[in-house]
Amino acid sequence: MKYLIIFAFLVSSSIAAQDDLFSLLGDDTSSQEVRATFKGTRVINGQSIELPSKGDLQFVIEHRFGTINSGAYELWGLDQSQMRMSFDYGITNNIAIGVARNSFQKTYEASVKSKLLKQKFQNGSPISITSYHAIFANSIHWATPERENLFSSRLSYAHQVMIARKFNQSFSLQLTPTYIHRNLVELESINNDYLALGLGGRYKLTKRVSLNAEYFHQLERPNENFTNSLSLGFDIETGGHVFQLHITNSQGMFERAFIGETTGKWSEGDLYFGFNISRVFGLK
Amino acid sequence: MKNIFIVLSFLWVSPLLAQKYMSRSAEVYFLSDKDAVEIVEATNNQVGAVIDLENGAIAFQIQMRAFHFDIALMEEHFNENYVESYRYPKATFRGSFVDLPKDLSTPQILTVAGTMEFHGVKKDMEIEVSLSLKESILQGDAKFDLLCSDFDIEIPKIVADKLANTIQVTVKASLTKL
Repeated sequence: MKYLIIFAFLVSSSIAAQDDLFSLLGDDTSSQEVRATFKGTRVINGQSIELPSKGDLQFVIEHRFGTINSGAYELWGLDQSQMRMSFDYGITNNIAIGVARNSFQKTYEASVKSKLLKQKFQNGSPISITSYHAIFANSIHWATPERENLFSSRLSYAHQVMIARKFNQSFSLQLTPTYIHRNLVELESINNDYLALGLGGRYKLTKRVSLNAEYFHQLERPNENFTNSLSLGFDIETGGHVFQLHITNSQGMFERAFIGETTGKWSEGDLYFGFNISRVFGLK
Repeated sequence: MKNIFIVLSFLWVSPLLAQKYMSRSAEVYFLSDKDAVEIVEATNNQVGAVIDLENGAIAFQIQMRAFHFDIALMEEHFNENYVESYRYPKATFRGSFVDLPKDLSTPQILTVAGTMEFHGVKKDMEIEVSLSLKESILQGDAKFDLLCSDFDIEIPKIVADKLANTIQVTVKASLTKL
């Protein structure tokens, strides 16, 4: 029996000696993080799990034109536009801060975005989680300047958790539970708080072009006049720029506006053509 | 009986390991042509390397995603658009020293002939390597050029006059005895 063991040892050794040197090196990819789940920091209107890398300043300029069904007189919406511009800066690879200005209600924004969990290729999390917190302050003239108006009435807030998985090189999906609060609403019939669940995805058509879709379902509608936001678009990446072209039923470009206060209906053709252009500047 | 067992197990271990040197932290640095508008450079210091001094066999294994760039966006584009690391997660080189002298106490310039597999393309190459053995550390250094076009790495026309086709590769490896 003992001889048999020794014999086995000898046989195995002669096989092992001829074995490839690569077997010694193994194949450890466990620590590698999945990257580029989305091309941009936004799926379309809403935030994606991505944020600017450490030391990168990202400038995004966004436009939404008027409704396409407004006819030739308005050049199918191109005569009117809403815009938003934002600067986001990566303090670390996991935390970014941002400021933005929207032409809609002359709204200023400040935000913090942080990566909480990163998807790994092997032996790690199957999903990535990022959180996003923003405060919005409109700066339009008071509707009733004769009464006492408080600054806090201008404020509203959005809190989001983005949960995403890159299923393969082409396909990524994201769930976005969202809570929005407005300090002051126009009518008693409008709720101050609303909850929504977002679903976003992208499918890469080529290395540098992807098809994106995004939907926010209002779980608690602020008011029955408001509809759910649905957007479809393309991402086109060229070096340091990402161009996003899309059609959406939301004209607002910040969370309170497009998740809570969308009024356009796809069924009636109240659709807005729009684009986002993002440019990254390395500041390190 | 006991003695026989010890001797035999010694025999089992010795031919397998005695002359093999290995590292999991060899460094590969690459630089695209300095004259190009966009300088692309990156370092990977998690490269696996094995050299068997008995038969002169050599093997390198490079995880493509472990290349670190100063510019994060460049790193993303390198992986996603150029080397396609999701499809070809590693590059390998396997070969052997053409002639391996017994005495390596002073650095020797030697030729390694072998096959580079990178981006799914295999190419036979000869590489000049400086090799020395001091205090049981086997030190190997090499510098050579690769052409993107040899390995089917596509440079889009729009950036073709900014990015160089020639990549200078520098390898530094300190291998310890297994």
